[in-house]
Amino acid sequence: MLDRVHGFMLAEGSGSRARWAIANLGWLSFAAAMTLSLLGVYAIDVATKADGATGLSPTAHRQLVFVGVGVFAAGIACVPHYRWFGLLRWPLIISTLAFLVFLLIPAVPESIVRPRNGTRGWIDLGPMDFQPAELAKVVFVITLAWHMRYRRSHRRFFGLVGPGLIAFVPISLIILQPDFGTAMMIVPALGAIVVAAGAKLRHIAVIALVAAMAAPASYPFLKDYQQQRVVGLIRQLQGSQEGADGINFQGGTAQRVIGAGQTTGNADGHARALIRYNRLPEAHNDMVYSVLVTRFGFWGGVGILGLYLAWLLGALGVAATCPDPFGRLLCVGLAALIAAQTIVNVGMNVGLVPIVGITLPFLSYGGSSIVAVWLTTGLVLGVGLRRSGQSYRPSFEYAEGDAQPVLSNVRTRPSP
Amino acid sequence: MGMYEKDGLGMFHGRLVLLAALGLVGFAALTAQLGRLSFLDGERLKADAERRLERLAYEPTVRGRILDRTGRVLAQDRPSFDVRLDFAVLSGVWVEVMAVRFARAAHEDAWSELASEQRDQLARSYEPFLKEHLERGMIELARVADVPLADVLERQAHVVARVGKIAELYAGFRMDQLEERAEARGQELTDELKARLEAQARRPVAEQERPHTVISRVDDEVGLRVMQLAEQTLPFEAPVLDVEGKATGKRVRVELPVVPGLSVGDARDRQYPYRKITVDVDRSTLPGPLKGDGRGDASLSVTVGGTLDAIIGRTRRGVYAEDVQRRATWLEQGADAQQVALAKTDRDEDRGRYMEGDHVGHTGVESKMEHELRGMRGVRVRRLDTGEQQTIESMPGRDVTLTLDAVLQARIAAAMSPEVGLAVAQRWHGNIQSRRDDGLPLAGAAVVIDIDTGEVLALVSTPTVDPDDPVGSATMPENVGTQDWDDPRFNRATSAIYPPGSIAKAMTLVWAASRGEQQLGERIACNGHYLPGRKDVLRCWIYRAEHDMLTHNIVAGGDLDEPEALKRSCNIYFYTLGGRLGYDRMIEAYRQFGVGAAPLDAVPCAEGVLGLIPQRDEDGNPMEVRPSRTDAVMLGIGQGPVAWTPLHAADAFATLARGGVRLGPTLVRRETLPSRQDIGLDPSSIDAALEGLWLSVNDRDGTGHGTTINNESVRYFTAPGVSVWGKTGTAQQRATLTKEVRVAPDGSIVWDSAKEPPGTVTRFRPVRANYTHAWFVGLVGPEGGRPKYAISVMMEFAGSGGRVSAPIANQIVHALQAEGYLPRRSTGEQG
Repeated sequence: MLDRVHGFMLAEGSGSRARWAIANLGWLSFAAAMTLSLLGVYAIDVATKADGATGLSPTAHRQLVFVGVGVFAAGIACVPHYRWFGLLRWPLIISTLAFLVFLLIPAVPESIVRPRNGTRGWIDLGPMDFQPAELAKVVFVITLAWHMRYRRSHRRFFGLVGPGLIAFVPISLIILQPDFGTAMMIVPALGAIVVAAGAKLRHIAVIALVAAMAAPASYPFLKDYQQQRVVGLIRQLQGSQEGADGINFQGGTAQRVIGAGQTTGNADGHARALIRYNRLPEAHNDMVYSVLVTRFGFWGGVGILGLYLAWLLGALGVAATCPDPFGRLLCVGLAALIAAQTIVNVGMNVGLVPIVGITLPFLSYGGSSIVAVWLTTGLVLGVGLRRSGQSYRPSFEYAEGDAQPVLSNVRTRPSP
Repeated sequence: MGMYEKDGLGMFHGRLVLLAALGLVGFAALTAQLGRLSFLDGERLKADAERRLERLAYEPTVRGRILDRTGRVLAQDRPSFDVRLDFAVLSGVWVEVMAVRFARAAHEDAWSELASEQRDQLARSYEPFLKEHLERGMIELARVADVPLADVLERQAHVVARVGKIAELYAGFRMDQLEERAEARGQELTDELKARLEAQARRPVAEQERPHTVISRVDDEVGLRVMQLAEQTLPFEAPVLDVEGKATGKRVRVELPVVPGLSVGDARDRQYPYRKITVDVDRSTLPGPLKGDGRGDASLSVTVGGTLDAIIGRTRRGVYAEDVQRRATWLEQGADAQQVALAKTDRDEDRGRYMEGDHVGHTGVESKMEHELRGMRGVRVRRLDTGEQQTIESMPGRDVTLTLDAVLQARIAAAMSPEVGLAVAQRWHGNIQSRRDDGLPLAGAAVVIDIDTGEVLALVSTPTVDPDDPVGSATMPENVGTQDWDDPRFNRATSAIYPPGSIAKAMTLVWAASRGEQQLGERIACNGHYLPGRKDVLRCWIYRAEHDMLTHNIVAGGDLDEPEALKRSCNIYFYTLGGRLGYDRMIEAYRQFGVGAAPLDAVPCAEGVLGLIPQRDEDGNPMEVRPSRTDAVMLGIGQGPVAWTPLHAADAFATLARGGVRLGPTLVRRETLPSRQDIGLDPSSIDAALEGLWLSVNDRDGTGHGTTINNESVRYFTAPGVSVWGKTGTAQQRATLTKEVRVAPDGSIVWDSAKEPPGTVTRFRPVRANYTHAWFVGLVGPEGGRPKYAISVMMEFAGSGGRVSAPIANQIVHALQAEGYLPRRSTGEQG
């Protein structure tokens, strides 16, 4: 195994060890992640602190600890060469699948897997609940990036079946929990990796079109509450107040407190009162963005979106400057995970997307979520730190209409 | 890096840009929506969010009173309270819950390790003590509230049984729903699932979680005592057992409420103090045999009930959707700015909004004046974040003052009660074929209007609903104009329409004179029939074709002038005027005197019927109305296509007495003056009419002067010190009444007992015929002065207007004197 790692590294042709590149765009992601995480701790304190209490609320305090754990995890993730994760994909895949399957075993007592809102998605680890789906998303990106790094089969329409099957495994296992929302977050990562790897856009367009057409057809198969949420969202976008106390309560409340932030927000104490007495559900969790907009107003909301953009810019920048195909796809996939989750969660908050249980990276309360997104940040930083040297082949450069690489003088498989 | 400078940006970088662009589109959409929420909807959302920092509490208010013109309180809110107990206490659940709590407290450390049987056993040991505490509490409650304990316990059992039934019903209903849904989801109905659904279906219903009334409608004194009791606590003691169930020697000591779960609820009541009024009727003022033999009491004490109910109406407890809708509409359209300002808080909440358990006007004035009577709730706004309080005091509803005089009304109703005899069909009431059978009570109505102000002083309809009958008095027929002769709830004064008959002759006269169809002083001959060649139709009422002798020309000794014609109520004279005016102008005359419009808006009123109803042709299109000359002629004597209410009649005479100025009428005192309208009458024609009306009552040949009963000459009007003007009316209406008749073997009715064939028997039969309503409409004022009050009396299917209704009008004059509306000279002077 070690030989293989060194083999690749030697293949870079830059000597016995890869060089470290301290100055890289990964730090932009890191800084954005840190700012967001600390804002999250503050927002969680706003959402959860009891009247008259001093210091951080216990929930915010726990979140602060999670952030610490997350940063530590990120540190661990960026030190070894990121290719280790690719090489260790099988242990990662197997353990992740094991967790996902474990969740689905009905015989597992509720003291270990306690359903939340009917979803068996968390394993009770005492001080912290572990959500295997969060891990699964990252492992999926690693797996797919590794799988696609030298392939060209995806230039053909049916060549897209392979990546699809890889995505199908975690998606179906997570849907069975059931946690439709989290499962769907894998799709943008799949799409982004495939697109970045050079799949033909018309193939992707056909698939997207079919999916878009199939979506309305799937409506009758949705659960009652899911249908209600979709209808509720449409009504709400049409300006109806109809479900304000029912199915739209969560979304309606979120938008009310967002609107209450107006241009520049509310003073700390007043923002806390607004959040508390408007009874914003999941204020410290899915709806944490609303809390921050209540506090900091429209410009605060735009600023937070800017921080996410900064994170994504960092990740894409690392991808753009990384010569290694695996590193490239890894960064693109991880960025897609973060982007999709951010857009869906903020969309939920502002009322563009139906309410699904998607956490907001870095801001939402939760150990698994924080550790997962910091792990993501760590991986991106890790790629950035290792991107020096030169590529032994340009990756993903194809002529349109051709499944063959432009340069024909490169090896299609590295030798062991 | 060097590699890339050579290659330039390849496909991968293009794809990165594409993906980044996609992400940017997403972020742009989020930003746009965020901007929309913050700027476009920001104000509204902010206001909405801020509102939720405040907690609103409404405080009760009081409905306005209804007063009569003298300030008597006819309707008012009476404070009243319900004594209530939590359902958990009533059902015994409280005992179980407390027992578990004690057991748990005593074994706090070991509790989680105990088996459920052990827990139950420990808890059960406290139950007898708690039960005993509760029993003592109930005894104390009964003592404090001063009711028998048995009543309270009976009520408790009733509540528990009723709520149990409701809960059972709901559980079944929910279970059906849950099973249906489970099946729709494709779940198999296993026993385990069923048990789980059952538990879900059996969750408590609202009735199991709220207090229930055990003693209702206690006064404020008892209410206060019970409130104090609800605050009191009592030491409670019970021995503590160990886990094995043996006494430990320790004892539980806590303070428990004397009566757990006790509360007092507002059960404000609407009270109607004048529902029943007892008045004296002076028998010496009654005609003929009704005076009695002189040995009995000089006065008759009569209790009347329900005469005000039909006007005041009722409130109901409980709000309908219509009430909410009606109030919203009123606030938007009907209310003036001041009323809206009073009702709306600065948060745009209506302080008069309906809430469960409110008293709502249901019928009559209570309903029509709902928006005035309704009080404004107090509002207490508490800032949840700062704890600041802001209070708007409650405001009682406005009092509504009626123009009625409750006691005058009662005196009139007493005169019209069957006990007195005036409103019972009597032998002397006229031809039996045209009225109800002797001895039957008569239905009728009477109205008194103050001429100068247009205020209605009395508005009586008999019979009425027994005020003690809760069902009858709680409803009121709203379909005015369609007559159900036997419905006691029917307000005959305002809602029943009758042909005017001869009382309209005064109107015909002034209209003809004012419109130039009659030169004052011009005489008209009465030869018994209107058409020269036809002795069988359009005859005068005194004319008999058989002997051709009885005409007004003969009895009066010549052609009739205006006062003479009114005094004698000559049909031929007024046929002639009706013929001269023609159909359209006769209709216009009635319209100007108020027919065709509802006189009052505070109670349901019929508009009356005026003119021929257009017929429809085969295609359903209305055909042109072609009135015949006969229609105009008939309208001249108040028959034909016209019908009005007793209220219309009194109003028309008041208009006449005002010299042709219409005013009101009004039933409710308002700040705004009632409408005035001059209908353009010639003053000298009014003088002539008033002279005729005066002669009708005061000349021995007048139809309103008197009659002969048992060979005794009787004057209708006996009150000294007053002047009475008036007109009798005996108005025909075709109807079917059940009568006791002699029926020949061939089935025909025999009216003349002398001509009965053998085998004739007495039967009750519905008989369709022309019956007559008895009218008397008059004016009364102090002797020698102008008329002050207009009076109308109508007795349904009662026969002769003079003989039936004039004596009742006389009683109204006496009642006006008794209540100080007219001067009263000592009877001694009358001689």
